[in-house]
Amino acid sequence: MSFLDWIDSRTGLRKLLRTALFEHVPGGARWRYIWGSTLTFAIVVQFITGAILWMYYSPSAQTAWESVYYINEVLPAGWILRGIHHFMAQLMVPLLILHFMQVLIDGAYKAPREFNYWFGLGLLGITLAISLTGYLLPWDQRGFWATKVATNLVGGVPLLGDGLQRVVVGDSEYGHHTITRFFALHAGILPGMLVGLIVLHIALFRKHGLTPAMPKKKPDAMFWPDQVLKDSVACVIVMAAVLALVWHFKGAELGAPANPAEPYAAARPDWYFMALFQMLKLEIFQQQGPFGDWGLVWGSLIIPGLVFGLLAIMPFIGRWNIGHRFNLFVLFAGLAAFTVLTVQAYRHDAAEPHFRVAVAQAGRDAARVKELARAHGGIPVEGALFLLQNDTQTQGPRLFAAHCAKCHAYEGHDGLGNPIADKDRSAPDLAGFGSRKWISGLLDPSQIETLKYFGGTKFVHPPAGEKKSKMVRLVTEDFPDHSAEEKAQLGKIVIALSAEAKLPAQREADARDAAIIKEGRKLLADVALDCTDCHAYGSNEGGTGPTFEGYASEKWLTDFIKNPAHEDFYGKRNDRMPAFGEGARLSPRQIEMLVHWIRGE
Amino acid sequence: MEQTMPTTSSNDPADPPPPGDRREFLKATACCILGGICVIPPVIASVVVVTAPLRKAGAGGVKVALATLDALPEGGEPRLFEVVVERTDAWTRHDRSAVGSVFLQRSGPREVRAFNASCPHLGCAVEWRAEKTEYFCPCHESSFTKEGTVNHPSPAARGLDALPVEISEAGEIAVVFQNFKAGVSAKIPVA
Repeated sequence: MSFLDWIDSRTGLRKLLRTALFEHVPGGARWRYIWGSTLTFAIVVQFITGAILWMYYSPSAQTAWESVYYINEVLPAGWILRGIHHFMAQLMVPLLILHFMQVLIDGAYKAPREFNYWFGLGLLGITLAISLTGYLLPWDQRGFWATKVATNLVGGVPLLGDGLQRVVVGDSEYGHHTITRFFALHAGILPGMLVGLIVLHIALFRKHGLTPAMPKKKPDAMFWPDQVLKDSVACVIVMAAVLALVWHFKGAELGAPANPAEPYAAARPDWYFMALFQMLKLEIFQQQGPFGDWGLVWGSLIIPGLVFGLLAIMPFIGRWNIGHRFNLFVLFAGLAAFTVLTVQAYRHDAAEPHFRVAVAQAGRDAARVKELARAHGGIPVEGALFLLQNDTQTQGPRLFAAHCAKCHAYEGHDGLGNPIADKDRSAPDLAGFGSRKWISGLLDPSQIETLKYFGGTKFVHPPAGEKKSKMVRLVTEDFPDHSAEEKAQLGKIVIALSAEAKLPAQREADARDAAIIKEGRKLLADVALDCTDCHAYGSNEGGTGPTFEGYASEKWLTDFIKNPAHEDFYGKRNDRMPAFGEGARLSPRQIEMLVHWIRGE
Repeated sequence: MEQTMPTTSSNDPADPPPPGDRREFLKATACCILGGICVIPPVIASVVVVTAPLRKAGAGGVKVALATLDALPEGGEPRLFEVVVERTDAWTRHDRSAVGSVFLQRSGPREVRAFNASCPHLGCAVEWRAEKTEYFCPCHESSFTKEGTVNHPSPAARGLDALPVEISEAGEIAVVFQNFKAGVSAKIPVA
């Protein structure tokens, strides 16, 4: 005891504790008073987890994503720590709303508590600002593009906009300075302001005391232990909910690293800003709307500003009973609007195929870059984006979508999953190109004239006065009359021709069928079924058709893409396909990645 | 109604009115337990994360080729070589990362002495002072003979840390690079 006495005499600890714990609670402890305490608890958790994350986070455009990757994927329990920080931030928004509702419904915002209410509004704003700045810090596609939208809104502020945006972003472009600024705001300036306001908020709360919900149901009690007990139960529930979310989502998401050159069609803010996001899409705020060019300013600044202003003058409106009712009406109308807009926004996205494709692609990129980093034993000094930019699996479908999908499809889509309309398919579907299945399909009289093969080409739709191509006529006119023996020969030729491609997916099958392949090659060389009348193979020089030497192999495909009108391929009969190796349409490395991807390497 | 449960604090006149009964005591205990429970997850996660370096397995020494015998004439002065290795620093994979430096001195036709250039006292970089034929640490003025033994008086508790040397047929000199705990007389490898 003497030691405690000594401490107490030097610090006044007991008095402090007593002041802290023995607050008068008129009408006794109630569950509806827990929200302020849960928020305080949430903030404490954010300070603890945030400080520790700080030890691992590296704020620069070259290392932000990489360090978060390290926290999430390498550091033991790092994903739990980041998960708690992330999901507690998510939960703080409903907690803030509940706290606000309780204050408004119980009339705790009215005189003499105006200042305390304003401090609360300030805390609400700061909390949202901390969330917004934190969203960018992982420097992934989602955070990058969503924040770009947010800062462009800042740029829309009349008169000051341009300067303000530049100060926030730190430059005219996004980069190191954007991250360092957002980090300083997120982890330093805003939390500092938050603590200051919380101190004032709680001090004023103590000065004016609790506003009891009427009618009082029980005799007055003390904060300790009755209310503290209820508060602790609530905090345990909040923590349990956070852990459940962390567990369910396997921690907080980390998307693919930010790439300013790669638009992200699924750029969305965090869920609690989705209502504002949706609001900007309303017709009234568009350029053709009543506000004209000012639509954006009205939607992003003036209307939210007016709502916030209305919230701020609520203590004055609430002096009259009818004013209080008006305030409650505003509260519930606002919550209803928030809910409706949020639901609308999510339903709109769910029904939007491009959005889903973008989300799926972002998910694939994110998984892929993590896989590459693991396989590589870390991330190269150039950064994680470098890994993705040199990855066949990532770039192949993008190059295909950008350069091939105007005519070709890949399994019916553009390589990235966006469906292609039939009218835009003028060249074969290249999924499985060179495989046994693909070649057999081409040689099937019922398939060769479909869009999957030559259905969109001039081989099937020749210019007026010309005949369909020899190949199309051969397959559709001669093949149906094949004898059983010829059918068997064709089967062997398909297997032999497909073996020329040396596809990784067929390596085992090719090794197993070595005897058939040998036979098939012999058939080709012996001019069985007249293939080599047109196609060069072995000692046969062929004719107008593409060469069968190394058909669909890496070299064949590379040369073909470089120039399909080369005499080894379609020569003068080439149907519209450009020579991608010429005029720097595609770099050798790009062609290489494309070829590897089509071949499944 | 219920029996009073005197607690230690209730005897203290500085304390507020005693909670009195068993109910109040249970409530107080529950508060403390629940309060503890709800901060345990972030605290545990934080402690695990902060102490992660303690659980990192040591990599041991790394063998690095530094020079050839031609570069070290017999009877010549010690020369300082950079140790550049492949290394993963947290998330970054470095193909070439400088991790330290080593003094090499020819001591015989096919013999080379190798010392980690980090001072065994507190880790500053030692220099070779040709005019005194000694290694010298500019921080706390420890000095060492060319054989690496500590000159007295010196603050260093042990001599320079010699590193194992391998010389190939072709005369390539490789050293197993390793750092050792500073400030103690024993030569304890640092992971």
